Amino acid sequence: MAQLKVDTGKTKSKTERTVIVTKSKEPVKSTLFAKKIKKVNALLSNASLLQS
Amino acid sequence: MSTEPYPYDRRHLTRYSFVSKGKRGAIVKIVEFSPTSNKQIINMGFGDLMPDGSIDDESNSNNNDLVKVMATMISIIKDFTNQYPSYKIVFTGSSQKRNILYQRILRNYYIEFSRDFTITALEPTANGHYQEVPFDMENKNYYAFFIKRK
Repeated sequence: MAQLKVDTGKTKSKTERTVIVTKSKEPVKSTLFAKKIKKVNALLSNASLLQS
Repeated sequence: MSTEPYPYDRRHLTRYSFVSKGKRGAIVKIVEFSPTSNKQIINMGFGDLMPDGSIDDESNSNNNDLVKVMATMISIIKDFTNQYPSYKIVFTGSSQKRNILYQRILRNYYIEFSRDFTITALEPTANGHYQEVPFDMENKNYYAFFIKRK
C-alpha cells in the first residue's frame, strides 16, 4: 500500500515542508478477486491444458 | 491499436489502476494479477473500484471508451508480461454472458493481441471436463481465456 507522509510544516518554514511518497514494490498480500480465483481454480482443476 | 491508452498506476508488482473518463464521468478501474492453483498460471482480475473500496467485476460501465480501455488493458498486460514473460494469464467472466462479451472483444482486437500474445481458451468437453484449445473466433462456448507472451 502506498504511504503518504505529509509534513504540515507547522514547526518549519514554508520552504522546509516536505511530502514523501513511498510506493511498495512488494506483491499485495490479499486479492480483491478472491471469488473469481476460486472459480478459476475450480476450472483449472478439471481441465486438460496445452503444453506451453 | 492506434488509440492512446490511459495512463496507469502500478501501486504494487501485481496491481494496476487507471481512470476511465467518459460520458458517465471518471471511473477507477483496477487490474490485479494473482496466483492460481497452477504455478504457471496467473489470474487477471478486472473491475471497477467502488466507493467502499470493494471491486465490482460484473458492472457494465458504459462509459463509451471501450477502445481506450482495451488499449490500456493491452498496455498493462504487456507491462506485466515484460516482468513475468513465462506466466500464462487466465481470465474469465462472472457469467457466460460476460464470457461471450470477452470473446467478442478478443475477436475484434485479435490482430493486435496476437501480435504479442498466444491466445487460447477453455471449452467444455463431452465428459463434463474442460480442455484448453486455440482461440477460435466462431466458438461461443468458452469458459475462460488464456494469453501468453510470445
